[in-house]
Amino acid sequence: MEASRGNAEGGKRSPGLRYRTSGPHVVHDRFDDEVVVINLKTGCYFGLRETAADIWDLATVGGTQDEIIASIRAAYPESAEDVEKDVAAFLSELSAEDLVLADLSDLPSSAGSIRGPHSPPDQRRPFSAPKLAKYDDQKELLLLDPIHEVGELGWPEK
Amino acid sequence: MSWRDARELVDRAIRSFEKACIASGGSQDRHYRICGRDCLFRPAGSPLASLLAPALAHLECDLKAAGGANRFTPELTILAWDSASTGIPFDHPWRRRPPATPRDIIYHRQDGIRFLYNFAGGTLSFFDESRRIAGYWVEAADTLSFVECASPFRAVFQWWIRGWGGLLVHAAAAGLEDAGGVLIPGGEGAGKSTVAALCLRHGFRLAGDDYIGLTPNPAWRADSLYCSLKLTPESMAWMPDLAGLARQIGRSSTEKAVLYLAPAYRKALVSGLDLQAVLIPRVTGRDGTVIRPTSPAEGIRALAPSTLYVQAGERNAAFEFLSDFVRRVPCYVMELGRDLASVPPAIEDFIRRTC
Repeated sequence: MEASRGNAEGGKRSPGLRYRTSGPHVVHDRFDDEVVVINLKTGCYFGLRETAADIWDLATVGGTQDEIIASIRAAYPESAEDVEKDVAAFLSELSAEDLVLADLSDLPSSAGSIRGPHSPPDQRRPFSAPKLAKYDDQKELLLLDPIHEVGELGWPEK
Repeated sequence: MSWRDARELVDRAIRSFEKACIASGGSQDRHYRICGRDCLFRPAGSPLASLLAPALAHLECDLKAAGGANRFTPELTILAWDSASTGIPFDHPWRRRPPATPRDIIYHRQDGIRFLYNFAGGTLSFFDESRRIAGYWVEAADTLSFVECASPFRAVFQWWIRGWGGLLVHAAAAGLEDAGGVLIPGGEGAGKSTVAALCLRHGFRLAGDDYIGLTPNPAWRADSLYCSLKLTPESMAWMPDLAGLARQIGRSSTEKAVLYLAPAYRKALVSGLDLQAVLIPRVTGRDGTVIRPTSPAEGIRALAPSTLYVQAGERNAAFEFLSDFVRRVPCYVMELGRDLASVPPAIEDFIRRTC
């Protein structure tokens, strides 16, 4: 499986690749208007609001970059000029933090199931560039005593 | 020596423990009531008993008062032994593997049996869920750190509590005798231990300073695990009356002192508290202490990272558990004032008004 952790790096687009979380080391949930994401590998955790949370929702259900851009553009019609650049840059930032990756997933296309932004249109603020709030105050705790999970094959002597 | 599977290693561990008991004159059994369940701690010989039992002293059962040993039916038995004091060697697979880093911790799960080997501490913990037997082995008891002694069997408790739908959580829990309790989360340096100590001195009940067992049924409850308290030198200076309880004073300006609250504060230490709210401490430069509502998202950011990082396995399920908790229990930020004396009355007022 071809995978890319930074498809938008250098402005290069990979419109056919589908996004998903990078693996089980990424845990996330939405709490009303904020998504909280924790990277259990790096010890960093993140807060995503507004457009950042909307893009996250779309990127974690298998959306392609084009589908995500189309969905955000439809939700924020006044923002047509900046959406493509901002979404691409944000997906790149998520990839750089090892939170999402894009690949030629063998999952069935989820384009039909991708929903629009979480908040209803009448409660939605104007489009603003998505921001990734990063917290690393607990990083030391994780990195000081890293727990490595060893699977069934990890049994050392058969 | 080879180990065919996890069960065989547990059987070997039990035999090693039994030999260690014989070599050391028997096990010095302690009976506890932890999370509402009977728990038997069986240290072989005195070194581990004297190091690990004090943190659990507030939960020790009076077997006579409880109707005798026949009424005690342990749902968890923890075997603990060391090789140096007993002269009984114990080998296990991970000892021979060089760690990727000196502080590596290996977690392995097979056939319902979980293992955790801490290279730096040299401790092996295991839990056989079907037999309800756990083990804790270290090469030499005198190498155990004070932090390890202050919160022993953390991995075992973590796995055991998960088995009946709870979660070991990195947080303090304090409350009033005639009202509800609050959970005080936060990673290192958040101020939860200082708040817990201030509350204790103000007459609050305390279920824990650092780790508690969180269970959802029927109400959200914080069950006590340890009676230890870890305070920074700065906090110790604010509360010199607690200095006499310290077993270990920090050796540097940043290292924490470890205090054991039992027996001195035995009456204030409770087996558990029903939780009414989450109070997230924030150190501020303001004069007084202010408590204001906040979002579940801020609650999960305060609670989840440090709780998940110490989980051995099943972290996704732990995150879902915590997400459910912060959605159901209201979260507040507690902006701590410079005047620390203002903190306990503010929490007391909050609990009486809100809970």
